Amino acid sequence: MTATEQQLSEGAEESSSWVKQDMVYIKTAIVLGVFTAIEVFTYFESVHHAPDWLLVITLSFLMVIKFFLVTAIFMHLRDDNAVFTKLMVLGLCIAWPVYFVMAFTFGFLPNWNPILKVLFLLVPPSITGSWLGFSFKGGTGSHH
Amino acid sequence: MVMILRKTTRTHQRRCPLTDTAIDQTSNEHSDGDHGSTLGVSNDKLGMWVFLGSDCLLFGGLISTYMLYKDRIGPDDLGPEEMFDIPFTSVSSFVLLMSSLTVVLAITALRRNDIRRSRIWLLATAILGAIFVGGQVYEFTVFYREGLGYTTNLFGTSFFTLTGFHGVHVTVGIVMLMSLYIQSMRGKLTSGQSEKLEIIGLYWHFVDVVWIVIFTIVYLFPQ
Repeated sequence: MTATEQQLSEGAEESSSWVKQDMVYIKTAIVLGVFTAIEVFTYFESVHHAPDWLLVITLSFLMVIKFFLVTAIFMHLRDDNAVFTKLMVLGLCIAWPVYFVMAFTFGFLPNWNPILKVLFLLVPPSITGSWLGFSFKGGTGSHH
Repeated sequence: MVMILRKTTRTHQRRCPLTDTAIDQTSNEHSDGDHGSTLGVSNDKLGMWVFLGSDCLLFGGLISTYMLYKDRIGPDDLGPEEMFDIPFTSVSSFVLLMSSLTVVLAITALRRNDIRRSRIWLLATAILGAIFVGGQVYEFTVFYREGLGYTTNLFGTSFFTLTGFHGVHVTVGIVMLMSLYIQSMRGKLTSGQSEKLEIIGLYWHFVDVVWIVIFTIVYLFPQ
């Protein structure tokens, strides 16, 4: 293979890699759009018959998925240095209990069982921390 | 040894072209003694992440305040159920969501030195952001005409503070995007300086992420 052919081949490979990357972003945006449409659909459905607790759980689930899709793919946490992921996870793990302690202090959800309140405060940060901190290490970041 | 090799291969497979360039650029910056940090990442980018973390706490506080005060309305006042126009806000949300796509396409275009396409995506992002802010201004005007002002009740105060702060963030983002667009038109934004756009892109995505939470909690949760 001549030098020119090799250069052309490398150029084509690089171009194909960029196209693949753009397609990942476009697919992510489509998924986000579909999730938003489902969210809006639950609003209209709620007018008729769906119970509130089911709507809150469904909407919270969709919100969390959308949140992590944007941060992982659009904000590149999935592939970027692990320091950024850890920074964000640390913030989330601190913020969650702080705001829920405040909410409970001001009487938000007052009828909850105390054990349930403690679980609600501690379990989500633990899951988020372990999931993002260990299985979501960040590709290239580990090289530094 | 085999495990280490497998790990290295997997890590290599997960690298996207965007990050590859970012790392290369960071390495160059280190050799120049320009922006290198002891953590091995760009200081500018790390600074933006720290700022976003602090902004998370700000919006967390505002959202919590809204949750606590949303029911504090007078007997004759209009509440969230009567005020919110969900189809309209859904379209605005979709517009903001799509602007996240356009900004990330602008970044990849700049990375591969496709300046013209990068400019188009940058401008598209700014326009989508402007449509969102325009929609918010329209929504605020309608609420005001229907009798919900900033000081009408605690629901109004917490709602306008939360969504207003978000609107200001989007507006600041538009100003930053337009300044980059002008730099690009003057030939001062090249693929070598794509980290600038990436950092502003991080800010823009954060604004989008915050709206994902606001839209669900404020507008869609059963009142």
